[in-house]
Order: sequence, then structure tokens, then C-alpha cells
Amino acid sequence: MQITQALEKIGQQPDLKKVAVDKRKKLLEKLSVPDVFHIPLISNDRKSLERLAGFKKDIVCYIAAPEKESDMPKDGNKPPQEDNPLNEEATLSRVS
Amino acid sequence: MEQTLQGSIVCLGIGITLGSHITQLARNYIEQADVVFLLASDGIVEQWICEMNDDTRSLQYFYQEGISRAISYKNMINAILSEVHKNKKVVGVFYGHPGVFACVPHLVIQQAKKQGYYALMEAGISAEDCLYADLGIDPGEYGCAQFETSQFMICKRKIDPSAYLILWQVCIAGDISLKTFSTGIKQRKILVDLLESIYPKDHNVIIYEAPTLPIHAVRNDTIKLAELLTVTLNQHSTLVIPPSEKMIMNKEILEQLNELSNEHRAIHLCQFD
Repeated sequence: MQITQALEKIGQQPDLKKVAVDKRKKLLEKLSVPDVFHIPLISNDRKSLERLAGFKKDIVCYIAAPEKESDMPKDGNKPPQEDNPLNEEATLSRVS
Repeated sequence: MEQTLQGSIVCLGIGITLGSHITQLARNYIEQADVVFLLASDGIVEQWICEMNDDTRSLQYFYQEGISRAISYKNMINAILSEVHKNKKVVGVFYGHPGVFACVPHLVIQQAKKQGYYALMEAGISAEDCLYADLGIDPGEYGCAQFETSQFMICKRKIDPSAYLILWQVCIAGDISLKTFSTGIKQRKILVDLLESIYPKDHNVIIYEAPTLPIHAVRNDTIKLAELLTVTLNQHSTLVIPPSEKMIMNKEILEQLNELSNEHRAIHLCQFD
């Protein structure tokens, strides 16, 4: 079992939010999670979890670049095409 | 344009918490795709999705501090569409809901449809959904407005302090360059000053973070508005501002509605006479 599979099983437990940290070991045993994962999962040791998952890089979680113009949406309740948020010159230069 | 080409793109959401939110439909799409493009909010979540399909490609590599995110997003769209153009069954996997505060999935679908390809969005559990459950807020109780923080700052808004206000991406408040992953105290001071023009300085606000791993706890920190200047904010922090004023009844509208109601009752009674 991979650490990600162990986390998936944990994430599907209906009683997860009721289980106190000191009772998590029992939950992990019930789910047949390998012993090697117990300590990082119980202590929420981020670095160990990342190492076990084989993950190294930093994550960026921004995916919104909202419209910065104040025009009313036109046909179909969509902003005008020239104000596409990805059209950097059309949008941001007018803001600054 | 009528859909005739073989390539396709489905953008779907895997929710926020690993294992807890993904649907069976989403998993089937991922497992059966020719190519999966992935934007996760946690490295371990990314690893988890990679294990579902051997050709999973992270979109994280398009981000670069100092490069406008507008360019990163454009490059993400081009990368996804280039595989659709090769007539492949492409799936775009995004954290949360692919259509909520996420421009890439919307634009990919718009462009693919325009080019004649099959394109579809499948909903996912968003951070907003988690927020309502974790904080016990019903947006219908007092009403609720929400904005991307920088947009809230640079556009004049009519804020109703008798409703909830939710500000997303608060960690990059005031970033008009789209080139940074966090902004400083000067930008945050402008945000606090703006909010203090609407709410009392000692108004309680909430910093919320939804857990990306099931072993994480929810962040639900209540602070005074003025403390927003110094509190630690992360990329996935959200600012929730509860109402500071009571809702005011619109007496004129209420009277008009009462009159209608009385008329209706009179007609109804006449029918039974």
C-alpha cells in the first residue's frame, strides 16, 4: 500500500472527524495501513509524508485571474472578448 | 460549430480533501483518459492522481514567480489544447470545483468547443462548499457576496454589511502584477483600511482553510479585523467577514406585497362565497 492509498482510505472513513488523535492508531490498524506510515500519519508530519509520497516540489494554488475592468457583462452575460483576463496588455495595463 | 472531431476535453474537480471528495465519475474519467493534465492544491494530492493514470502531467511547471500568471494560464491552455488537437481523450483535473475561481478550465472548454471538439465540465466540491459546512454558515440566511481579494480592492463595490462577505486569494491581496505568490504588509494595510471603511475595527472576522489531507484540521481562526494586518496567511487562506449590521426591511416593497396578498385573499374568499 502506498501512502497516498492510505490517505485515500483515511479520507473515506465516515467517523474520521470524531476520531481523536490518540485513537488514530486503532483506525490505521483497522484499515490495514502499514506500520511504517503510522507515525507520520498520526503526528501529521508533513515532511515525512512528502518523502513517503516521493514528492519534492512546492505547490502553487492560484488559478483565478479575475477581470479587472468594470464594464457590464454584454451578450450572454459574458464579459466582452477584449477584456479576456488572459489578455495581459488589454487588461492589466489599463488598471495600473 | 458542430462537434465532428475525435479529440475531447473534460475538465473536472476532485474536491479539496484527498479521498473524501472525489466522485466515482471523476475517477473513471481520470483512469480512462489518454492524457491527464493536473492542477492540485497539495503535492501529495498530485502524487495520488498521478497513480491513477500513467500519462498524468502536472500544470505546476507553468508557474514561475516573476512571470505573470496570465502567461502561465495561457501556456496551460495551449498545453491542454495541443493534446486535444492530436485527437486524444484529454482530462483536466483541478482541485475543488473546476469552474469556481478558476479561469483555465472555462477558457479551455470555450476554445475547444469553438474549434469543434467535445468539451465538458464536471462539477466538484469547492473550497466554498467546505467553508459553509465547516463554519456552519448558510449563505441564504443573511445573503453572501464573494470576490477575489485583489479585484475587490481595485474595483469599487457596493458592499452590504448586513450580508456575509468572503474574500478569496487573500494572501495575494493587492497583487495587480499577477507575478507574485504573496504580497506584503503595505498591500494588506490598504485592504484593512478599505474594510475598516465598511466594518468596525473590532469586528470579528474568520481566517478559513479547508484541509487538503484528511489528517489535517480545518483552520477556523476568529480575529479582530485590525489583526488581519499581522495574522499568518497562506495561499489557500480565505477571509470570511460576518455581517456587522442588521438587515433593514424595505417597507415600501413590503407594503406593496401585503396589498397584493390582501387582494389575492379577497379574490380567493369571493370564489368560495
